[in-house]
Amino acid sequence: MARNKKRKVVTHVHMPTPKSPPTMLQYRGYRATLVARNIGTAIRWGGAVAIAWMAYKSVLVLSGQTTIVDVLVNVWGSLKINQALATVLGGGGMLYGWRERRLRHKVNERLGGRVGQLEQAIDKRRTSSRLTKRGQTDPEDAI
Amino acid sequence: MTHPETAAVALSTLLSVGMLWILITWFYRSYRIDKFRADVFALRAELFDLAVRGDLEFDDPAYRQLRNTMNGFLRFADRLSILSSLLVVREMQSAVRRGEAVIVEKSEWEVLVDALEPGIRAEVLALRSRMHVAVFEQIIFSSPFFLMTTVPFALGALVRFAGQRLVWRALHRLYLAIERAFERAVRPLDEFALHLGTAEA
Repeated sequence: MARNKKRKVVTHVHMPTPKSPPTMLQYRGYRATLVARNIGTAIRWGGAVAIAWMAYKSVLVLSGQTTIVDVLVNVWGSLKINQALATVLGGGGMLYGWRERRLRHKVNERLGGRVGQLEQAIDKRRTSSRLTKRGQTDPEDAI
Repeated sequence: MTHPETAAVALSTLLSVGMLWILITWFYRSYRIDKFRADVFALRAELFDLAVRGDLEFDDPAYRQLRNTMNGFLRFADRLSILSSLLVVREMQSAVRRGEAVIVEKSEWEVLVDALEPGIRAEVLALRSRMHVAVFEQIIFSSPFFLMTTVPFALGALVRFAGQRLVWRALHRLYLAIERAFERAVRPLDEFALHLGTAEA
């Protein structure tokens, strides 16, 4: 005889309504994001420490044998035109991107508040993302 | 090679590596966060326009919930990564085991959306799907280290095991598997984002 058992499908995890006080679950979720952020920060700055350590070891082996002026003269003297162009292009591109990003944040600051006010006039209960006027993370949320 | 030449090569290499580190960990990361926020802001504006047209009420619970979910993702975009997503999903699943959360057959969102007219329901669901695509892109592309280490290895393993003629079929199956896994994982993320977007502080 075939069994026609109806399987309960797990489709959703229900949480308490948002208007209730913060729950332990909310706290744990927030803590999970903090842990992930700290691990990411440790990996990023671990890379910087590794680079600094390699630079230190590179310089250490030369102590007492050569001067920084000799090294810099060698760096400048051995620079080929294609390497120089690549360095200028790469550095210039990064600088351009950084300036463009700052410009966009200024535009956000100038126009974002206005859009919010106009939307507020239409929808009195308009909710916000709570970012800064420049569209970046609120410093209180960044802690 | 003399000592100054060796030092010059080492220091210029380290300078290049340092600039690459700045590019990957600072510039690229900031760009990804800004891009994700721009995409979600655009979706939120489309949702607002839907309500301005009169097709959807501003007080409609479906509108409120979707907007608050978007606000939650916007607010904590800088913390949305593959690691944080895995940890949040794991916390939600642990909550079910501890009895702090309840499994229901039909989510609150599905109940709210079912109450909408079919045409409007399709538009609202499309906005939510596009939000999920943006979330998925942010999770995958926010970590250049993950992209550089896992993706080439995964593609190499795929070619080795699937063979050249079967690569596209295998990629399609992999895409479907990722889509199913993401569908299961995105609901806890949506819940978490909704609570973040609705929280007072």
